[in-house]
Amino acid sequence: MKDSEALQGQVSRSQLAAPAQQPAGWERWIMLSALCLGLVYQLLLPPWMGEDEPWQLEMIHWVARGYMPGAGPAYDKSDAREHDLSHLQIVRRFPGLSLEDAKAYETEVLASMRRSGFEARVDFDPRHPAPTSFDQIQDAHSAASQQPLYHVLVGLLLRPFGELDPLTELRLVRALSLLTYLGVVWFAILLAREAFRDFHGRAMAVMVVAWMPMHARQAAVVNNDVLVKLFTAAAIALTARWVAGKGGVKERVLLVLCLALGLATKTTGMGALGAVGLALFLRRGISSNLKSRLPWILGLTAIAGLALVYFLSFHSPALPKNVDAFMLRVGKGLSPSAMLALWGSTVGVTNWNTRLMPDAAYWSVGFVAALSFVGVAKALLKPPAWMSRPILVLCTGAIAIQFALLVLRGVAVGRYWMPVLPAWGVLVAAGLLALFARPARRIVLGVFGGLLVIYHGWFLWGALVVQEHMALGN
Amino acid sequence: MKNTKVIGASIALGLLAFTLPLWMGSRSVYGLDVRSRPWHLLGGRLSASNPLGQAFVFEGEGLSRVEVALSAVGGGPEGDVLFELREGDSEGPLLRTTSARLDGLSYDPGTFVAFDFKPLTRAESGSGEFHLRLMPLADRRELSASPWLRSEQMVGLAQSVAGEFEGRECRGRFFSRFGELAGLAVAVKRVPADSRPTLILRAIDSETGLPRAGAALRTSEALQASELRAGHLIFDFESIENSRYRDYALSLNLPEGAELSSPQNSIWIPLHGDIGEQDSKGEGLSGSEGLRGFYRGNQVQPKLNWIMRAKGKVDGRAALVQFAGEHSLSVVSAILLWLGAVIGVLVALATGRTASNPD
Repeated sequence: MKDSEALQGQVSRSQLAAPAQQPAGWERWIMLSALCLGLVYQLLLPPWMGEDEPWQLEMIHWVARGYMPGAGPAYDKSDAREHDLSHLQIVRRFPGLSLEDAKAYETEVLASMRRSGFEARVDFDPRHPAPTSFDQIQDAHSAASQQPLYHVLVGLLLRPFGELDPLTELRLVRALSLLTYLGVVWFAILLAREAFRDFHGRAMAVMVVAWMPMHARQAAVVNNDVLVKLFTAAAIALTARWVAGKGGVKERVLLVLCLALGLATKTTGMGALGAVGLALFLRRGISSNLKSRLPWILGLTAIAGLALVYFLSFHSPALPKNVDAFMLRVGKGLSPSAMLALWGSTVGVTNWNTRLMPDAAYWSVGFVAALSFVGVAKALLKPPAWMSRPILVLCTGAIAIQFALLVLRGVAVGRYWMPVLPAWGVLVAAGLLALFARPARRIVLGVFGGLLVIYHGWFLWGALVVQEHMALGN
Repeated sequence: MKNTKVIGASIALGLLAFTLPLWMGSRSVYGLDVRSRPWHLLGGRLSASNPLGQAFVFEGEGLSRVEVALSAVGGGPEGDVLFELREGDSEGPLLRTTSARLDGLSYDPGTFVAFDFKPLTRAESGSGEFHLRLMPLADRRELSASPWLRSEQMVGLAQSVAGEFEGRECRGRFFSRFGELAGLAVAVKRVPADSRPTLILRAIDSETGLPRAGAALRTSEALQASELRAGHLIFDFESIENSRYRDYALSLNLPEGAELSSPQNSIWIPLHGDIGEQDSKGEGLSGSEGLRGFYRGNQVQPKLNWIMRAKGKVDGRAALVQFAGEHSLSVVSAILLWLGAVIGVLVALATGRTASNPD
């Protein structure tokens, strides 16, 4: 394709140079659409149906009640005989908190969950007649071993509200998740502006992010995943601007801040660090000698090292205890069942990952993803004029690094790779559109938009509403 | 004019993407729905001489489908399975028979096998109490398939117990992660009919690490009126309240002809307390609303039930009406916002194209 032909669909130079804070008309509409979608999930996602909400809210609650995370009393096996592990872990995290108070709050949350029909919705809940501990839902599981930034920030915001019942706490915190979801969509817009010079690519990339069902659903979930996603999406968008030679020192400082905050929120923020490292080799105008890159390389290595020490200080389950455990995790992460579970929880699953959509959904989305991979390979080899090759490489690298981290961790949960979702949006758009000439791209975008709406409707109305409401008779 | 067209198309697309999935999804709603996971306990191999059954209650209209969770055992699945549905108990009038092929059945995670039949009439539905039974079809003696069972007790974490064998006696150690230990299950290859396998449980002294002397802590007999093959042998006993994080010595005495599935390293599944109701639609937690016990031959085990679901003619429609009625304000708001979201995205596509690509 000739450059002149390709450039026919480009936006003007003045639009290209527009500062990041001036959205185009279509971008405002996409944001409005995302707001509506997020509100739909606020209304329809039943209480406690976001994964790990009880554990996450428990951490937030104790910060809101005036405690701060730190090093509380350690416990041993004899303590574990007398008390539940979930109580011991939360008391170890919050100095000054008593076991009685920890137990009382978990009992209150569990009662709220029962009133909301939790045990009927989540197929692995053993339905203890009078639960008093989160161990009775899932043994040896706690948010107390995660980095507490999200819990501290949200807990402090909740503090002025005073004493609240768990359900009200949950609803208030869920409202904040809507904001983080909109933030991710906004950073997807910033990234798409750097990745594509024409409207089709930008619109498709942003639509993927805003309308991906499992992402939009997180607009109503209380979990630190939502915050790490925001910081990582910001870091990737800012990295893309850096690669494109845009932004000044303030943006670089902001980038480092987002990286650090992402890592302080959850280990899944680590992928952004790799993306920034990759950017050192993609950035325009940078000298090719090692000397100019050295400060960045040293800085990133220091951040990574500090992050690891930080994770260890919280007994993070993300880090293996020894080489054997590490190898076991890698084997587990690479297993076909893990890959299937990862795909399932990426495309759509309800009721705390216990109820899948019909097979046709996974195959259909898989077909589109495979098609886009073919297009990405084509675009990487011979990039069209309407697409930025360095940004495409950056996005491919970010996705690859995030998936590698998931494999090393041995986990297979879709939400763990979602911090790099804006990069995924760029890859899907680049891949699908690269397969077609310009006149057809317009049709491809329209058809893709329609199919995305239908796929989302299938998940929302045909799976979530049916399995989390109607199947229960409520 | 163009904007009107875009909004019209958006509303049409939004309504299509809302009504179609809802209508199709409502077909997957069941009147009786037991979905507890993971599935731990196996009821035993299906055989002609020793059919396995389940009593249940279905209160909906026109029962027309029953699905049961089956697992491949032994040599893997083969052949057809015969399904019988009776009114009332196992001796009640036969209402329907049908069959299904067991090809593609796996051990883990197991599969729901569906039995479809002509919807029951109002007269046939009677009190709503039914009994289902599965057995091999035609001249087969047995099938390499077993139903998955759910205990009314809380299933704890399974653990492997390295056994020491002397004749028909197995000894090992078991660590309980939770309190209220009230039963133990172990997988067996075979236990003959009219036998009484016995389990003896002793506390371990935390200082010496040896079983405490004196009387056993618990003794349990699992009476087998009929033969059990490729299933779980379950021992119930009075709940041990302070069983959390404690070690126990167990001693299993098997009758002549009995055999564990994995003699040198048997897997033991602890059962804790009583959890009662298991149907997802059940309101309360005490007493089984829809499930009335698992049958092996004529022996009923009331604390065990099949993992199963059943569907009538109008379950989906009724669930839809109930959902819309109970959450009318949220549902109406959500539909309007959904349409707003679809309009937003289509207008964005139209606006962007117009602004950026005037051609």
